[in-house]
Amino acid sequence: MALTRIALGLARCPASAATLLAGTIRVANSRHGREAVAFGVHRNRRSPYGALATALVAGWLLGGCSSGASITVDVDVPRPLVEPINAAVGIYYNDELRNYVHEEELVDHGKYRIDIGASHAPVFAQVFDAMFETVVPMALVPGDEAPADEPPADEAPADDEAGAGDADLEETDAATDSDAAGAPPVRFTRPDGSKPAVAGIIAPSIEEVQFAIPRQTGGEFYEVWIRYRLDLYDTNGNRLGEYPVIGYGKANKANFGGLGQASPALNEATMWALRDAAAMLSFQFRDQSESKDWLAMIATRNAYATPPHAVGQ
Amino acid sequence: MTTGRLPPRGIAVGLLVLAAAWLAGGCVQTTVQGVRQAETDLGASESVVILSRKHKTQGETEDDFVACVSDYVKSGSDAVPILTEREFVDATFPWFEPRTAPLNMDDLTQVINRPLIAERIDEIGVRYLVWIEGQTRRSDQTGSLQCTMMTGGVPGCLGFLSWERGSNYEASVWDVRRKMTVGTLSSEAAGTSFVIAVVVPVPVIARVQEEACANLSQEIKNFLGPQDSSTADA
Repeated sequence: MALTRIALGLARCPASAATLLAGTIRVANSRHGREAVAFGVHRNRRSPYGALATALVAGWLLGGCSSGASITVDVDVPRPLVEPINAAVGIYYNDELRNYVHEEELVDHGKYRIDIGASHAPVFAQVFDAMFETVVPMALVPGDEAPADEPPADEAPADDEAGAGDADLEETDAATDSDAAGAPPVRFTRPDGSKPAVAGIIAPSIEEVQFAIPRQTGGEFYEVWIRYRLDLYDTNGNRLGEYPVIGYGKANKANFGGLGQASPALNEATMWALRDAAAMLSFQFRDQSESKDWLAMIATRNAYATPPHAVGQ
Repeated sequence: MTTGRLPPRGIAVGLLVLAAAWLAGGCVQTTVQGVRQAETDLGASESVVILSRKHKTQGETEDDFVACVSDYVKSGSDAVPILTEREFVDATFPWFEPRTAPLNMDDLTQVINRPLIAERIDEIGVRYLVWIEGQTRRSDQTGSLQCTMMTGGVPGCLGFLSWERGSNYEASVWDVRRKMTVGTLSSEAAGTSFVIAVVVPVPVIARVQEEACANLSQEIKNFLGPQDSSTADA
């Protein structure tokens, strides 16, 4: 138990390495208070066994002070139980999303690296497969830039002359004419270069990742927030709007006792954040104002599509 | 600070103290309560899910407690069929996630009235949801413990530490088919743990959470099992 207390104290790294090399460890508890870990020095230790033991203890203690974590998150989410929208949509995953790694150094708490890129495409694919009747993977026409940072068409400068006429896909219709004065369209294609028969295109991108650890916040949880943006395009590549998705996940530190648990705890929190994003996306997408116009547009593009207001979850 | 060798007599006395402490310590006081609001009748092909609330910003129930209750309830001669929490939330994704799970019976009714969800719940055979809330917390603690390297490099400790832990858990039992709360069960446990160290530290741990788990689990089994007059009270 004493060792546990020492470990808990060390997890907070209260002493410098030099002090840790001392030969005596005293764990003192104050009534009703937090335990304190103090380290005293004995100068008359000559035994080689003592030196060895001290070195082992010091190494262990220093190990306790080493913090930070590096994780590669590999997440699958179940297929959401939602009624699919009767439309064919294209999905474009940009390289940043596919390869996203969040790296951050927390003062006094070490370096953290969270690699979530590989999980994005499978997670979004699972969700979109359930949300729409048909999902078609998309790519950019070679030479086009990734569309991640474009403003929506209605926010773009009015003097931009690029319009639907440059699109590589279907011919313009009433739904896209209004975007002619917007940002340059993004030219989507199928990975094999063929023209996809879709009613609209969704391009998810990642905007921000944040995390917090209990030692930093004084709370009970390892927490992860991921903010995504779904750019909503018509078939001519005009961006009609964007839809934000925020995933939040936490892992109770009580489930991850002991040293070296930051990695599994952060992994768990990130897994829940991705899962939460998938849940909120499948749960709310068709009911939000940001997506309703786009859903109405794809309903007009699909003769067989179910109007969004008629689709229950 | 203790730095010298302890005399043999001191060690013997220390061991006696430890033995006495071991025999006297680690006691746990428990309280179990239950309120039945309706009869239960778990069918042969039906199962139960033990779930914890995960939407709170503090006081979240420990995963190992939920696992302990699930394991306990599904074992023994009076075992109740259990579907694990993960299997259930995966099968009903995204309707029982931390931010989407129904918090009351009205919410649950709205969820399970959806054809897709109703069909899936029928398919997996879940009849009762048991929502567990609560935590085990450490409270008052006293004493001190010192460890040092004695002559010859042998580590030794001297001192006494004690602390109290309290478990307080509540389980709400929802009947999915009848869309109603059928009962509320609770289990409290409290105990004092301590460490006595005379050269060797000897912990005497009050198994508070384990007791709370065993009591709550048995209560759930009794509640969902065949009815008798002793359990059908308020």
